[in-house]
Amino acid sequence: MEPPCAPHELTLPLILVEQQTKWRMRTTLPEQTELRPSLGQRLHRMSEARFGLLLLAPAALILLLFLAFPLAYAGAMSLFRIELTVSPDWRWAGPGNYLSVLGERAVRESLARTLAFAALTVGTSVLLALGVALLLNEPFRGRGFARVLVLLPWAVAPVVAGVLWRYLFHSNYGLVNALLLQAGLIPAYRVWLDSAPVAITIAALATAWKTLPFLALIILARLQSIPESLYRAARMDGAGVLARFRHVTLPQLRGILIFAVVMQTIVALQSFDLIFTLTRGGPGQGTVLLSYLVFINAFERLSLGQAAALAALLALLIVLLGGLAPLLAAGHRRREARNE
Amino acid sequence: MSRASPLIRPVTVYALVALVLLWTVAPVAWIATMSVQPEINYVSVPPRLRLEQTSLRWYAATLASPEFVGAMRTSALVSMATMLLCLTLGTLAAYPLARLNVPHRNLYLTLSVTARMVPAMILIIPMFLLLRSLQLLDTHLGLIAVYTAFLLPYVIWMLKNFFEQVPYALEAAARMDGCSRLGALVRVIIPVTAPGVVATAVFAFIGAWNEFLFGLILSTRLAVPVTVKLSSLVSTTFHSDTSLVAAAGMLALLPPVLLVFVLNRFIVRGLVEGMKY
Repeated sequence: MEPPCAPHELTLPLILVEQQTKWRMRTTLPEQTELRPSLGQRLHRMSEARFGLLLLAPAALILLLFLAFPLAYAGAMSLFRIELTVSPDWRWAGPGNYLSVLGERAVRESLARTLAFAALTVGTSVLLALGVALLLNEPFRGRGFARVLVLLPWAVAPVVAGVLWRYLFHSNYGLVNALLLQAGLIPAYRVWLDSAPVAITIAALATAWKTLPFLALIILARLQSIPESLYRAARMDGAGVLARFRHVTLPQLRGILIFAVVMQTIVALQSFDLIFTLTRGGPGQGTVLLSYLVFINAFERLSLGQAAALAALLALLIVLLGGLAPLLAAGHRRREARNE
Repeated sequence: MSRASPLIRPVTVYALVALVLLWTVAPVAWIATMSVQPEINYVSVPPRLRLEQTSLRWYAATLASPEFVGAMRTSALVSMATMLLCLTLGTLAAYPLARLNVPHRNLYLTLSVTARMVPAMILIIPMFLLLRSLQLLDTHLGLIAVYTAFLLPYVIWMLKNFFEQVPYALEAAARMDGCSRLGALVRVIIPVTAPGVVATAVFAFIGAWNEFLFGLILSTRLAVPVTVKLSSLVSTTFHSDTSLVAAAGMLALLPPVLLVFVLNRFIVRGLVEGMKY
């Protein structure tokens, strides 16, 4: 509402003097806002760059305090010898932790296990996801329902997925044992998780189970965007089903498949939750992957410096691999643009 | 294949679909079965599942345990708060990254992609020390802060992708009609991208609900999330009733699964569009 203009004092009847003071008070308002602009006006006059930075500030603050600072702190810790079982002191170690970590046999074994696990997980999940995506792209009755149901594992926490697969392969009440026994494939119930290679394979399968929906989803979206005209042209050239898949579908999926491989590698290298409830690192050290080894170093041996150094190496490996994804995606887009 | 009998193709497709659905559902279906049957039924070889012995009493027992219900409440509260905080901060940050001429914009975008790859494992010890000095260990607020920081780079990235798709003309029209800058964001951009915002909200909620490592280390008694509670049940109840653990597992996985099934339409498109590089 516009405040009324202040009428001249002389024209006012005396009765309105009281009213006049009220008007005075109200007329002073716009003058004040001229001197000190409201928040809205200040935002309006601000340059675009400053306005943008102002909006970024709250998120940046949280990320600095709870992400960048801990990260830098971990980097600093990795340069000190911190053995809480011996003393609470930090002793300068320089690159000492890195060298001793790289020289440790447990680390090298764990690295080999992690790479095997990653290869197994990535191979299984990307190939299965490709198959599932191709299948869900076919027309069939109930396809909409199947597409929704397939999402299920995506919503399940990795920790819970570990519990699910533990009970699936449990030696006393596992579904797998029950089914295999009834099919006559095993003579008696087996203890699956007591052999390291089998446990690693089961962990890889469980991880693939958990991440397959996301991968299948993005591959399916890419499949749906392949123009039908490409298939028509290929059919005119006499290409059969397999030839069409090899010469039309696969080249179109290349970018997304590379993306899927990189994403899945990152997931595999970070795996911890699922293994924690599936095997607890056992049998022995059989499923102690690198991130699990960081956990053991930090919370069981309390050698925080070593744990930080190992975690830093792992993070470096992940960021290097993960950095590939945007680069490859950009390169792929450029090539596609050139082809068009 | 095209010359084969017209029946072969649909039969193969349905057989494969059945296989895929079996693979997807079997792990959950098995624990669901365990959660409504007495242990003796599935421990016996071969398992003898008796329909007449099906009971929900293990759910009733789990829901009568104050510790487990407390963990569910903690997870619900922390996930809700994390989701709201992520959406608010994420929207404010994603808008300038998508729309405005901010200095060093590409640097911020690269940082947000890199932040998503930082493994939780490297942050956990400093996070413990940080929360201890802020006196936030074992509190809801501590978990909310940590979860928000960890999920925010994803949320910003997703929202940025959605905001970028809104035509500039729409925003310009809103500004001409007298909307302020923030007004255009709230009245035009967010409503237009609502499906994407919903997908992002679900993503943040599920990310917080399913988190484990931070909860394991940063909470001991008062603010234990359900994932941590479940893992302690799994490792300690060797001698007690496994059906109880199964019921607890079902209760822990139910909220995110229900969300996904109810909002699946938003999620499928949202994930595909939002996660793009």
